[in-house]
Amino acid sequence: MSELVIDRIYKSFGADQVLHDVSFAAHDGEFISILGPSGSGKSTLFKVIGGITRQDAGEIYINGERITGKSGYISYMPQSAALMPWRTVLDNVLLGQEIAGKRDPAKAVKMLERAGLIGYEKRFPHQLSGGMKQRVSFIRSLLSPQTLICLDEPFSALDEFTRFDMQKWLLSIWQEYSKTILFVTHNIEEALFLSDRLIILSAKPAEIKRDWQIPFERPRTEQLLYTNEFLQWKKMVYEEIKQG
Amino acid sequence: MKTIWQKGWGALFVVILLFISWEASVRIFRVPNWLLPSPSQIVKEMVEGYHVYGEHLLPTLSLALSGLMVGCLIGIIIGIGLHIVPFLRQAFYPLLIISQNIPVIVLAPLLVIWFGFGMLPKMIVITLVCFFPITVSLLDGFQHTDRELWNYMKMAGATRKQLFWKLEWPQAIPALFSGLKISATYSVMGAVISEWLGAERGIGVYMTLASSSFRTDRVFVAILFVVTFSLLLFAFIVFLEKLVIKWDPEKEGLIDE
Ligand SMILES: Nc1ncnc2c1ncn2[C@@H]1O[C@H](COP(=O)(O)OP(=O)(O)OP(=O)(O)O)[C@@H](O)[C@H]1O
Ligand SMILES: [Mg+2]
Repeated sequence: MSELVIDRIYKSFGADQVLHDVSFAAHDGEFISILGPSGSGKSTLFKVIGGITRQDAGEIYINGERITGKSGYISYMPQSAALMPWRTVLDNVLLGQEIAGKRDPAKAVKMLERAGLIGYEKRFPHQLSGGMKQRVSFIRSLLSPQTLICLDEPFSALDEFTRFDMQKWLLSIWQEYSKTILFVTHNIEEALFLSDRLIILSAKPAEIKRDWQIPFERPRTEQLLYTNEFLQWKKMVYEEIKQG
Repeated sequence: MKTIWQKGWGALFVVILLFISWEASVRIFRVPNWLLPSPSQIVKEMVEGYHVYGEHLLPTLSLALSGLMVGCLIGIIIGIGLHIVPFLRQAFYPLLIISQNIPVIVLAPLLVIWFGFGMLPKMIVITLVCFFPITVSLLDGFQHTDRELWNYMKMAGATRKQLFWKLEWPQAIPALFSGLKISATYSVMGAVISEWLGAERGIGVYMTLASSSFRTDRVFVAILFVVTFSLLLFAFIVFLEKLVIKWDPEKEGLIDE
C-alpha cells in the first residue's frame, strides 16, 4: 500500500559522498519530516526524488511504478517562495496545473479563500508579505495534480510568529487534502509539531539514523507545545542530532 | 519620480546655460554663419525653412521605425536561437561581437554594390545597428533565470518548451526592454546613415545637401530632428515597457532579497 518507496539511494558529487544507502517508504497521506545537519544532503535527496539529479545507485517507486530519473511526479516547494513576479497570485497558483495541462481556476479561488488570500488574486507577488507569499507557494503545490509534495525548509525565512501561524495553517489545510508530504526543516519543534514521522539524517554522507513515529494525537493545537511529553521528545531529538 | 524631475531640471539648466554662452560667443566674436551659426539663427531656420525640410522628416521616421521593427525581430530570433542551442552560442557569440567592430559607414558602400540603392541595403544598415543591443540584453536576461523556479518546474514535469515560454521568456522581458531602449535611439542614426547611401527624401539627404552648400544652420536643424526623433522613439519604448511590465522587476518575488 506504500505510496512512495525510496530504495537504497547512493549519491556522490565527485569524491564527495552525500547520500549513503538512504531507504524509506512513505504511506498515502503521511506527513514525514526530515531533520539533518546543514550540508548533509537533504536538498540533494529531494532533487533525486524529483528526477532532476541523477543518483549513482538505488531506485524510487511511486505506487509500484519505477520513477527513477523521471520528473513530473512530485510537487516541490523551495525555501524561497519562488513565485513568478510577472504573474498574479491566481496565475501563480495555477502554474502546476498548467504544466500538467489543465487549469481549474474555480478550485484555485476556493483554495485562496481558505488561505485568507481572497481579494489578493489579482495582486502581484511583490505586493504580498513574506507569509502570504509562502502560502501562495504552498497552494501552488497543493493544486498541482501530484500527490507527493516535497517542502524544503519552507518557513525558514519567516519570523517566529508568522512561522507558527503558517504551521497551524499548513496542518489544517493538509488534513483536508490527501497529500503525502516530505518536509525538510532545521527546526526540531516544527518537525515534532507537524509530522507523523520523523527521519533523522546523519552528517555527510547522509544515512538514516532514526526513523521515529511521532505519537501525538491530531488535531494538534498550541497546547501540545507545553506538554511534558513534547518537551521530552524535543530533548531526545536534540540529543540525537548533537551526537552527529 | 521626484528625483527624476529634479535631475531633469538640472540637465535643462545646463543646456540653457550652454545655449546662452553659445549665442553670446557667436555674437561677440562675430563667428561667420557658415562656420558656426548661433542658436537663434538655427531656430529661425527651423521656423522659416519648413518648406525646405518638411518633406524630409516623415521618410526618416518611418524608415527608422520599420528598421527598428525588423532589427528587433531579428535580434530576438538570434537571441532565442543562441540561447536554446548552446552550440550555436559558443560558435556565433564571438562573431557577433566582431560584427559590431566593423563601422557601418565602411560597410555601406559594399551594401550598395551588392544590393543596389533600394530598400534592402537601408534595412540591412539599420538592422545591423539595432539587433545587437537586443540580442545581448536578451541573452543576459536568459542567464538570470531563477534556479528555484527552474527546479520547481522541472520537478513538476515541465517540458523544455514550457520552461522557455513560462519561465525564461517572461523573466527576460525587462532585460529585453533595456536593449530595446538602446536600439530605439540607434535606429534614427542608422536611418540617417542609410539615407547617405542614396535616397530621394530624408533627413540624411537634407543634411548632405545642407553641408555641401555650406548651410551649417540647416545641418544643425537636421541634428536637432535626429535628437528629437531618437528621444521620441525612446519615450515610445518606455511607454510600451510601462504597459507590458506591470510587476516590479526589482523585487523578484523572493523573500528578503
Ligand atoms: N551540484 C552540486 N555539485 C557538487 N556538490 C554539490 C552539488 N549540490 C550539492 N552538493 C554538495 O552536496 C552536499 C549536500 O548538499 P545539500 O544541498 O543536499 O545539503 P542540505 O542538507 O540541503 O543542506 P542545507 O540544510 O544547508 O540546505 C553539500 O556538501 C554540497 O556541497
Ligand atoms: Mg538544502
